[in-house]
Amino acid sequence: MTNKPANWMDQAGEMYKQWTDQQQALLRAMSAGGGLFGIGGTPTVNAPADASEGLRKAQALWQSSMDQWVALAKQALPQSAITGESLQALFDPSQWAPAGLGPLDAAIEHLVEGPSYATLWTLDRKILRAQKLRTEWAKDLAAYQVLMHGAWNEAVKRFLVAINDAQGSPITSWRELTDVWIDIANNTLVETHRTPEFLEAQRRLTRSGAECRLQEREIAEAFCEMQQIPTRTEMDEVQREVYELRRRLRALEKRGAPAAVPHAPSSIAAKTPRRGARRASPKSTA
Amino acid sequence: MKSRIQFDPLEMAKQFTDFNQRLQHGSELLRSVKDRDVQIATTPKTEVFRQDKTTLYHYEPMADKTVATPMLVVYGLVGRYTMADLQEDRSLIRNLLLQGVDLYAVDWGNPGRGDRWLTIDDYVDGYLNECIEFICHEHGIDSINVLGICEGGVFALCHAALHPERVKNLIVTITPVDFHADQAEGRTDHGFINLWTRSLNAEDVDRLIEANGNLPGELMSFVFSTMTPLSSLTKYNLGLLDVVDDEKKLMNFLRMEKWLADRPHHPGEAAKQWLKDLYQQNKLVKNQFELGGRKVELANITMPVLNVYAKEDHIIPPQCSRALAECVGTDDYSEIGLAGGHVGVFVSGKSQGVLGKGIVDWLTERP
Repeated sequence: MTNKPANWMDQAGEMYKQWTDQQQALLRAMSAGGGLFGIGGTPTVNAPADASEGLRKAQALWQSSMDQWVALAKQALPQSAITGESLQALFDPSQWAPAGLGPLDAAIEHLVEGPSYATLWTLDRKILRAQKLRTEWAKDLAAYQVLMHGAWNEAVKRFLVAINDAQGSPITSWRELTDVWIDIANNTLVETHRTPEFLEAQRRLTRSGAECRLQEREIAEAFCEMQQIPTRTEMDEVQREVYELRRRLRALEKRGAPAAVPHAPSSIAAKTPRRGARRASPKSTA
Repeated sequence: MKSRIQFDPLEMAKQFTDFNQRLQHGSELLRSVKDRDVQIATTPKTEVFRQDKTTLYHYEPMADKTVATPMLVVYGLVGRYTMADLQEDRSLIRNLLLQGVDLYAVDWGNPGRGDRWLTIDDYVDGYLNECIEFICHEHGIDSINVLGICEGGVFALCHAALHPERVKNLIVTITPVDFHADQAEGRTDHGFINLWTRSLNAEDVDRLIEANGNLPGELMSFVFSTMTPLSSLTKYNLGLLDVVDDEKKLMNFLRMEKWLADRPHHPGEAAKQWLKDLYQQNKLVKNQFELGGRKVELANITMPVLNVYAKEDHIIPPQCSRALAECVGTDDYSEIGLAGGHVGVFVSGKSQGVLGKGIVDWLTERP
């Protein structure tokens, strides 16, 4: 036992190696016909003679299915050979935000953008699309954060130069020191906020956030529809109808209203408000 | 390299002791303050008219009337009208009442998701127009004085251009007219909202509104905070520390926080017009802005106009406001440039009296 902490990447790699070795052993055992369910080529069960033909057919079928599966997997995941790098991308949280899920992005993209079927996989595609948009948002967030980190680093650099400037007045209190920092950091951040790079990063983040939210709504609405619950889109339509009706009512009232002025002053209670408008009973607030 | 930092250990110890004492006093004070103690918009008023979420208030007089024509204060949808009446000694409303103005204010309420279809047309030609009609009816007059603030100033300008017969005198404060004039100033600390909105494309705005229904108040708060990033980050530590041991200053701080926290959502369709037609395409100053199928021609503003701007306004840079001079159709155009920033013009101790008095003096010359 060493003092070195357990490395999860090594462990994951080892697990993957063992799994691969076992699969290979299984296939070797089956194709060699030396035994059934043998691990590492060692037969554990002797097959009865009358079962040999059936087993051979099953083996051929299994091999053919495996070939088809490999071919399909290659189509679905054209760039997704399981390598150490791709495993790392899958399991290393630090890579998730800036890089998305690498090969899986491509897989999701492929599934989302493939042909649609009338009733097949509709909800799944919505969920996959939400996943894709969420990944894009995470990338945009990471790009935004990189710019912000750069700005903070620049502010620190400028601060160090400023406090070591022999020409500057002495700083004799923590508050003076804080004020110098605030001034420098504020100016640096404001400068950054006005750069085309920052504005574009902020624009992309705002946009991808909106797209994520809209896609999540689509999923929520799919479930609402299954349960006969009104969706946000339906509510928007209803509210639009109400809004349009109110507008029409106001226009009709305006057309029918008597000339507005001049009028003699009158008490609040004596006058009839237009329909839709409410003349408030005098209520004091303070 | 020689450092500028020259801390005297004894002085540092004293500062540390002082810091601790302030912190202790402040924390006791903060513990004793409840939300109900932090009241804003307390000037007595009466609700006199309501339509949907719009409420019209009439303020109780505080002095003999010196201006015969009543005045309506119109705030925008980006914040709440309560900024004009933050506290007793920092209140434009109170200052105007104390100088004998008969005052009304319109409160747009808190727009929700169901209000997403409301347009600026609904606010200008609908609610605002109804309020003005109501006041005209109430007083038996043809026209009233209108005072618009920020986006409310744009509403007031649009209304005055579409219904000039209803506005006797028009006062706009910290109001954008040329939304691209920030570029002429060349200041890096001014006009970030102008820059931010121009960085979006029309589809970005549409999708943002589609996703949220409205322009979320929280998003606008975030954009405002990026204009002064460090003061936003330090106000709850350093800023609070500066005022925490002084009850009066602490309450001022908390009232301002209460107003800032009360940022409503901007109805979606109106937000699209605000961001796309005005901020991005600058249609108002070009006389291309349309409401209800009618073009808003600023040259139709023929009544006397007073334009109040803030010289250090980082939200609405002065040049964006002052562009109005070239657009209106009146020769009776005046400006007051006040020291201070966007909100400071209304709530700073220095501006109290100056703004209210400037407005009343201008009005009394135009009875």
